[in-house]
Amino acid sequence: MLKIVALAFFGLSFTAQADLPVDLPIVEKLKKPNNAWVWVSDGTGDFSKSRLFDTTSGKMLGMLSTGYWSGGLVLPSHGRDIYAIQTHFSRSTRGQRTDILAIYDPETLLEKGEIEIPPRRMSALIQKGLSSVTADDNFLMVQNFTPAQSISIIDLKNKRFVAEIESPGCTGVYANSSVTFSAICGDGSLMWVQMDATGNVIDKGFTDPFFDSYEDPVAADGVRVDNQWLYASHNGYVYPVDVSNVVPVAVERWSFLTDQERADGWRFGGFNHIDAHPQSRRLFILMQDGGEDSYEEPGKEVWVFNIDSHERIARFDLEHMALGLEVSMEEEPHLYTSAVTFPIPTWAVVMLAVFGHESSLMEIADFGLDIYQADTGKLERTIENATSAPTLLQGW
Amino acid sequence: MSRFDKWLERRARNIARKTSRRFFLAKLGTALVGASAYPLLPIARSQATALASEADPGSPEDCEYWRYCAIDGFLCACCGGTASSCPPGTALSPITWIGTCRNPADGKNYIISYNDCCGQSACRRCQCMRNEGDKPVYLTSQANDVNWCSGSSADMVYNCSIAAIMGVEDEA
Repeated sequence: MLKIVALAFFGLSFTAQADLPVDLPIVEKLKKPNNAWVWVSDGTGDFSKSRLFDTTSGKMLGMLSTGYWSGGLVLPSHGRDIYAIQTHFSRSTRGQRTDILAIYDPETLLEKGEIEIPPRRMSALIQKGLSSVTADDNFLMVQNFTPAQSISIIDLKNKRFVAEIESPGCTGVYANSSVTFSAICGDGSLMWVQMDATGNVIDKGFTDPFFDSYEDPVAADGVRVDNQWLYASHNGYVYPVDVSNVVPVAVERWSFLTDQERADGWRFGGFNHIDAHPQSRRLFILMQDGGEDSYEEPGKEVWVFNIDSHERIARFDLEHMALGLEVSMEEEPHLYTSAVTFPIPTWAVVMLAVFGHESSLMEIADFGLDIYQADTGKLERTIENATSAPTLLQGW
Repeated sequence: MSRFDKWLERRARNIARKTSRRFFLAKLGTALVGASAYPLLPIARSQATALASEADPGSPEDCEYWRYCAIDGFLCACCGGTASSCPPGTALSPITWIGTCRNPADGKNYIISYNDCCGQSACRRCQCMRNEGDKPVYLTSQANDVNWCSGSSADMVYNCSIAAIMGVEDEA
């Protein structure tokens, strides 16, 4: 009797539950971007990709395929387009090379156009410094390398390639104003260029050297704060360059290391090691203590400096070592890092390293995205498997 | 161009003298373990590669091989080539970056050409990053972050890197 009652109960409960509605599959669209969204690019893949994450929810929102050894994305402030400097070969890994500036719709992430540019774009592990967009989003400059160095000028407003100019001995391009830009030269000077309103070059020249490119080279990964570009050097100095006028002016360098820290081997680390939060006058540098020639080693701390007083105002231990950083433009900013983690116990990681199996470690390394509070250094979230080879983080 | 040519010529001897004499742990191992914590590590590895010739010690398939002091890439010796030859099916990039490495067998500093091999996709075996004396991309001839397949007559995708001896550094 009990069995019959139970069967009746469960039978009723099954029939009372409504069927799931029929799915109508669609393709998602992005909402309006906000400062908590960040693009994570792997610039050195045979088929590079940029993935978009919402750092608030930890969700991946979408992806762009960006060709061979991508030059990363260009995110204009007007938000109507996303640009990606790309190289393609007609037979995937060989054949005719075509370089383009692909133009994407920021809502659908579909390509809505492209501008063909000279097939000479420089591909390298670092990305910042190989292209730069003017503050008014009108012109994009792209570094070329054959190995002769040159710079392509692209008119974003009218969607056309304008000109290619020689930049002999100079690699690393930085927009200064709406019509001026400069490039870092091997002798420690800057090449400066002035364009007219259509992007054609009307004047150019070279500054005097302002750093010793062999004794204390600056990294090509500069950060713009107001009218200055700030470049960190291998030995621990910040070299500011004022770009208020057509001809850039180097400002006196300042040290972000004490003599003792320098002697202890502290240097910047990773591939994108520097960023700023201009609203709060803070400069963030990814740091490690591997000594000379260690400047691409993963960072284990982030040091925070006041841009004006040059004082170090904070020093954060990172939860995971990192290959790059980016600071969000939120009022209370977040610090994003390209985190390297291993899905094995720490002792096993150490043993692999000790016995010379670093390449095995690289095979199992997970490249994630860590999100810290930039004010406190507190880790809020780790997004695992964010990329296969972290070379660039870009806040949107 | 001439101002840079003259300047580079002036610096060339200085570069060769200063570049890449140190013998560090591989980058990741350094970050994880700390160079000072395991100073005997390179010695342990040389014992493990005892089969190599006495004049050219070490295994070309090992990131710690002396010629790789300024390399950053996949070792062609693990990909069908050798320390000085590209794998079949690839093209040798004629443009390259240069380092100077000390051969522990004879104590001499050799000038090493790190050519990239191109035309097949990334080998992804024996990744090796040493970076001793590596410079930023505006010093292109000492920059190992550059994809040296790109832009050359072998304008194709990157497969792996070799470390060919170009000669002995002039001690003068």
